[in-house]
Amino acid sequence: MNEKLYDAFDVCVKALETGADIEAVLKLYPEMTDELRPVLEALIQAQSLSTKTVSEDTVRRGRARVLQHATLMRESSRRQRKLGFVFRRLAASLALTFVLLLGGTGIVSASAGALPGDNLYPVKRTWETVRLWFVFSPEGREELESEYEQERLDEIDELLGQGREEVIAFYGIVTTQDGEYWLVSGVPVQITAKTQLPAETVSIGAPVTVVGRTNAQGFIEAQMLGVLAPGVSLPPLEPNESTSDKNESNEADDHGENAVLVTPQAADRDSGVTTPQPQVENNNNLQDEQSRTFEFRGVVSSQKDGIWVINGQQVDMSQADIIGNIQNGTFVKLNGYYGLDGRFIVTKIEQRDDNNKNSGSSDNSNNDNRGDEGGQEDNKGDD
Amino acid sequence: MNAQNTIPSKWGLANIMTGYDENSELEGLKNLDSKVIGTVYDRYFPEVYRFIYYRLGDEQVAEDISSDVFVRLLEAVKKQRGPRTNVKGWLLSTASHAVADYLRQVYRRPVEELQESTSDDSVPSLVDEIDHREKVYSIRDAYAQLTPDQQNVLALRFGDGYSLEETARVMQKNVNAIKALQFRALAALQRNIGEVANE
Repeated sequence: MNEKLYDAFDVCVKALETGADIEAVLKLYPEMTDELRPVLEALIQAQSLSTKTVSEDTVRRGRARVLQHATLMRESSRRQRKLGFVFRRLAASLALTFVLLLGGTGIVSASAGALPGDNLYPVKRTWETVRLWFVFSPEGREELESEYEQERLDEIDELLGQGREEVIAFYGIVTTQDGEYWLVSGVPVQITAKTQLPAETVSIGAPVTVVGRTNAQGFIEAQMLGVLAPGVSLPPLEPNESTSDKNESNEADDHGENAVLVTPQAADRDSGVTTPQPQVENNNNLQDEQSRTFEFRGVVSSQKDGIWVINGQQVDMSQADIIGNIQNGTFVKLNGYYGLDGRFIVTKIEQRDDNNKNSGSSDNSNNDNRGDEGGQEDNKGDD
Repeated sequence: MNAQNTIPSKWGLANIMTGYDENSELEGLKNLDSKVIGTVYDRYFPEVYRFIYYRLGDEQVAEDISSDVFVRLLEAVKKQRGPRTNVKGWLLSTASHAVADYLRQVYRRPVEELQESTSDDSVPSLVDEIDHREKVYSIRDAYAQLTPDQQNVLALRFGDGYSLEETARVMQKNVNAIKALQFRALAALQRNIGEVANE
């Protein structure tokens, strides 16, 4: 019954939509008039509640509000993404710190003196990486990286002092090249036939990375040596206390008060050296990077705009105290230090006559042919 | 007012054949693409507005709630809690809940706003205007006493002009159920009008 009534109502509604009036529609279902009439009258009332038009202003205002909200959401989303990156990094840093502080403080402290090959050495290196995470400024990061490179050199000194054989890797500046024996930031390195060298010639002053093995003889057998790209953090050039103390104790007997910073191996090789040898002076009156000074002898081959070429190497003459009439071909003795960029900065240069070539210093007393060879090339270890 | 959490499934999930790629539109909405937002708004705003106006009888409130419904759509899509297939069903469902939220918030009978909302009606004289207002007042008062489903079916059928089939899809009921619901809603409306008149 109800379904028939609903269907009848549906027909009536459609008839009303065509414009018919209620009385005419009700005649379609006379047996249902009593039920249909009140509902059809209610339908007319219900239709009166609707609105037929939506004004353009209403649409426009609503659209503006929705689009404005979308713009705010976009900006908010961008800010959240930006902040999210910072907070994620901060949260990760804090979490690491929390873990290390709670569970690893003792271990980290104990690992401070660990050397390559020790069980705690990986902890030490990991902690260094964690510390780098906390440094956000490029300057601070570079300083810390440089400090770590110095730490690598100290570790190597310690290993060599103990005569241990361990695999090591470090960055440094080539300061001496004497045949197969080089000094890289003060560390004695032996270049052998097995050493992987770069295709290009490695010059004195070049920043390099060395991978090798310490040995009981007190030097590093290089397995690989590569030239670093500009901008790599290198260890600071100033000698640290342990290095100075150690060298003073090792070398004072041989070289007296003005100790020469060379390794035992380098000292043993003195008699066989045929090219100018740098000497490292331990002069406490000099400051910072200037405190590790070198002395060279060689022949000037070029003098241009404050940059001279001596023994094939460019040196910075902007701070040099020039003694004597120095021309191209003049044999000279020069003192100076390596700047942070690896360039050798001359502080003093003086003319040496040929007769004095062989008596410039005690450790070079056997270099009979130095004057003849010095102007041609230095021994850069390109053996 | 948090309709996203209260929307029942029976409204927003009706699958209405639309003839355009709703998936790409939803992706555009998620990316807050202004062009897509404008397109969706232009397509559905009149229907949402008419539905809300029918329920409340207040142009200003209908305008505010209608735009709010679209704002809720953007936020829901962004949070991946919006419609998956049927934007219109979701919008009308949200509109229904927004109206309910509004009525709870103002805590007064919606017919009170009717007096202000019908001021633009073109009536020939002041007496006619008063008569007209009183008549609409009694109808709206009677309408407000219907159940939410009954109000919705009348709003969709006579506010938006939806067919029985379309109303059935939006409300996720079958056509016969809509026929019965509509009939009972109108019968109740008529009774309520009589009761209001006798008060």
